[in-house]
Amino acid sequence: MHIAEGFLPVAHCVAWGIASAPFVIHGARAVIQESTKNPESKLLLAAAGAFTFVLSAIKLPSVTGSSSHPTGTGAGAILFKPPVMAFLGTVVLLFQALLLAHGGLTTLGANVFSMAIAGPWAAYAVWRLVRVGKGPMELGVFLAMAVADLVTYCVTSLQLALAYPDPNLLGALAKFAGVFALTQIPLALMEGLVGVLLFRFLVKVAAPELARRGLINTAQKEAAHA
Amino acid sequence: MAHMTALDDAAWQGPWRRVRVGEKVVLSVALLTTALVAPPWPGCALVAMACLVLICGPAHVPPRTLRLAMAAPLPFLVIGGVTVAVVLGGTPTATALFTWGPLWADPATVTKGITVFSRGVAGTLSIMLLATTTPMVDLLTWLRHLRVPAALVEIASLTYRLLFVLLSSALAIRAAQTARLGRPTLATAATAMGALLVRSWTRASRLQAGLEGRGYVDDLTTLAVARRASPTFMATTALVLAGIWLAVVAVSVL
Repeated sequence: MHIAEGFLPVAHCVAWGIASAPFVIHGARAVIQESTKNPESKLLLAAAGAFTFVLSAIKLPSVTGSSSHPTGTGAGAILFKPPVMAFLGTVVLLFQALLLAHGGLTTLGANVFSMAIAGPWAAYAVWRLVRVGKGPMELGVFLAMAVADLVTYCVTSLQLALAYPDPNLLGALAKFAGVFALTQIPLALMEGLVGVLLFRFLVKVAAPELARRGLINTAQKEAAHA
Repeated sequence: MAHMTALDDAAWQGPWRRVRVGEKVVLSVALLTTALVAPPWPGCALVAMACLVLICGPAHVPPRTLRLAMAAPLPFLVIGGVTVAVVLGGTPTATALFTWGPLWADPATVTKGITVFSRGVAGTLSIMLLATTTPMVDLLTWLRHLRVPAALVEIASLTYRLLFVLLSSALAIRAAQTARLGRPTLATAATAMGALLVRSWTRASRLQAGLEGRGYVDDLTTLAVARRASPTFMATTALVLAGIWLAVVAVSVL
């Protein structure tokens, strides 16, 4: 759910840009450090960014009849951690604005805050919580991916409500959240389910890569190989 | 794939490819700023008209490309505009055009909705002017000249280069699934995503190995095409903007 170009007042564009900047700078620093330490990781990070962008080409069945596509921010947060996703998400949103006309440049700060910061951080928090509580990987993945989408949608609704608050902010929030709930809530649940199937597939075909990232333990890796 | 690369294809093929990136950025950002701050009538209408004339005229972008590109943001702008026009809660004013339960709208809220929609359309067209005339590679090279850290521009450049490889893989996967009469289901979407992720890792590792074999150490610097400043382009930019702002001032005075 991208806020289109020109949709937010100038003051809001600036405010969301300022709010996003520290996270993006922190992510950019993490990326620079990582690429200085391991120059080969640059290509893997680029591949992660390209993967997130190309997810727009994969169709999901949609409850409302329209075609939807996964956002991949939850999966990205689990695989690459939220700071890296803040930077990669910014690059992807910039590319989406200039190559697909999804989102915009003045609304980049607001879109980065909802899709590349709030969503991934919430997803990662849920993922860590489930893993620390010894919950199954599938549950963690489902909740992380669904929460990433839901938080993105809630934050976007809040951004729109703050920009156009009607007589009261709560009414505006309910209005925007209600309008987009029709597509966003089913999409979040759908992406959670797709995430579970995706990680099951990855455990089968890319177990060493997942183990290297600490997402599965050695026993799971050997079981996948067996 | 065509619709996902349509804007980039137009940017590579258009005659404005030869214009300096900075000059196109100035034009696009100035129009965008006008769309955001000028009164919607006649400001946004004139910005939208100027963008349409420039894109389909001197920039030689096929109208079909523009129509395809606008298909993505338009539904959001329409739904968003209507949502802004309708108020939830509060007491309807005496001039309310309709009330339906807690929902109502009056001329002031409808004007606000139309204003938001107009700014959105004009702003999107302003950015489309840059997107359809400037390939991403040129923009990234321009960012490098603006001293954006090399490592960041490098990752963005590599991401851009890998996009097309992965995009064709994604579409090949989808075509293969369709050819086997597969409908879009959760399982096919998950398998496609998984196959794509694994393929992106493999491609990245192979690219890394290939580049290291050619002495790749820190960044893939490419030669930038030298472009001369175009006084005509800058004069046209100034004229277009001056015309729009003169019309805005004239309408507000009258």
